[in-house]
Amino acid sequence: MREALELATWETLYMVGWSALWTVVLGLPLGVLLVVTSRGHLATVPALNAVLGAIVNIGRSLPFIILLVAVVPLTRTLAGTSIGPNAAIVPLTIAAVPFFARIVETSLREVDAGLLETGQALGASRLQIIRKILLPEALPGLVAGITITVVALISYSAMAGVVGAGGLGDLAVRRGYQGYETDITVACVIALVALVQALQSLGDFLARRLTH
Amino acid sequence: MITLSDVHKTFRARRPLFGAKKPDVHALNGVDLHVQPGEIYGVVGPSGAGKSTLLRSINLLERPDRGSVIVNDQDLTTLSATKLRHARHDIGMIFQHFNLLARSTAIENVALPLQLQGLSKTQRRQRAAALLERVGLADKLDAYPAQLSGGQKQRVAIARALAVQPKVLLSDEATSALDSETADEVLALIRQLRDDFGLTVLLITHDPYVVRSICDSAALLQDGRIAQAAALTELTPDSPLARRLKIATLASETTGSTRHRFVDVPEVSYA
Repeated sequence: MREALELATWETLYMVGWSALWTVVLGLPLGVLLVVTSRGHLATVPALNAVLGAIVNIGRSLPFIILLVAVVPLTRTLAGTSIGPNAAIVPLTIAAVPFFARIVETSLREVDAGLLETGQALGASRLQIIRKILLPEALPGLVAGITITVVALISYSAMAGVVGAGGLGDLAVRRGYQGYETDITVACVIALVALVQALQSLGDFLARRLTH
Repeated sequence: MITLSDVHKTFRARRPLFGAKKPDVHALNGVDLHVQPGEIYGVVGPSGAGKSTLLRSINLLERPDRGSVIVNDQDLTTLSATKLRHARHDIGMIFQHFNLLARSTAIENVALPLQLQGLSKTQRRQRAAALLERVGLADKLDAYPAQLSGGQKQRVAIARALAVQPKVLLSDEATSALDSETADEVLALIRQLRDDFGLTVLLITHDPYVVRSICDSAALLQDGRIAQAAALTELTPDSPLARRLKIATLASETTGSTRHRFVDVPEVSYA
């Protein structure tokens, strides 16, 4: 049982870790675009804003379990396989990017418009305002947003067993529930709770450190 | 140094989803304004008169619909985006609520414009430290804005505005959020910096006291137009601007400077 639990924990960390990384890489620029292209912001492009908003909403409204099987062709192209932990990273990322982008959007909107005006008055370019003012000022909120997203990814990853990706959720369902080994289910749940607690504490600590 | 000619700005109301469309706001209706080099020039007027829009049209934070904005012999309305950004380096600006980066220290805030210009880290620190020393904050280099008083924050903002050695300083109600004693200190600092650096200062304020205490010239903005503009020494007591500034009597002092006497507003007692 111990071996199974250890393996499942690693599988979960592997899937969540990689998909979290890709989510930040893709979701952060998307969130920035959602903000700066909106009306009255740095680079107003209402049409682009509406399209991006619609894409994000579609992504957010699909139940993960459906997304997981719906994107199998894309997964095969990107990951080279449609089963296993690597195959889970693609749908996990697709599910988390719109979620994280909305969180980024909210954090960036918290930044006082006066600071953007100050940046313009100082002769900063739009890119400079984003990099030197908008993102640094929103950093504590962004870190908190990453924490929320990673926790959501852990939750999604429980369903990744459908594509044979393993992980704690899969172990709990397949051996624990379907195999009548209740102790395994309990162990998996404890491991998940501990994981989420640890990540949330780390995220809170970082966000606090960054606030002045 | 600054010449506005026939500047118009209208804020068009957007058609709301429900209800009647609000009327467009004609913030500036043909403003003509001329500020001499080295002068401290105050614009006063009732709230809603367009003071803020006027100030923001000088560095084109608000682009006028019509008219020209000439700063330092350059018509800013004709410049490309890149050239406008360069022109803005010559125009410092300070704000009522300071607009400091909350997550940056005083010295980092002052170094920001230098960083935007691509100065090296050592150069930035050196210049920023010297500037903070100049505004009396040598001991607050590494303090965050939250650890500073209002007056100290405005000093940091002034140091930041002057970091790239602008020729013009725009002030948007810079002392309005400060208590009167602190406001006096900040005003004195602005005048001192004007004298030392030969700055041209244009400020907007709702407070007649600010104009009386540091301005050489002033203008009264009403309904998006300059109703009257004059050097304070040439102001007649019965003119609208003088009434706005609550100036009853004026007398040039023997030094020939622009200092002047005024009658203090009587204290109201509610006892």
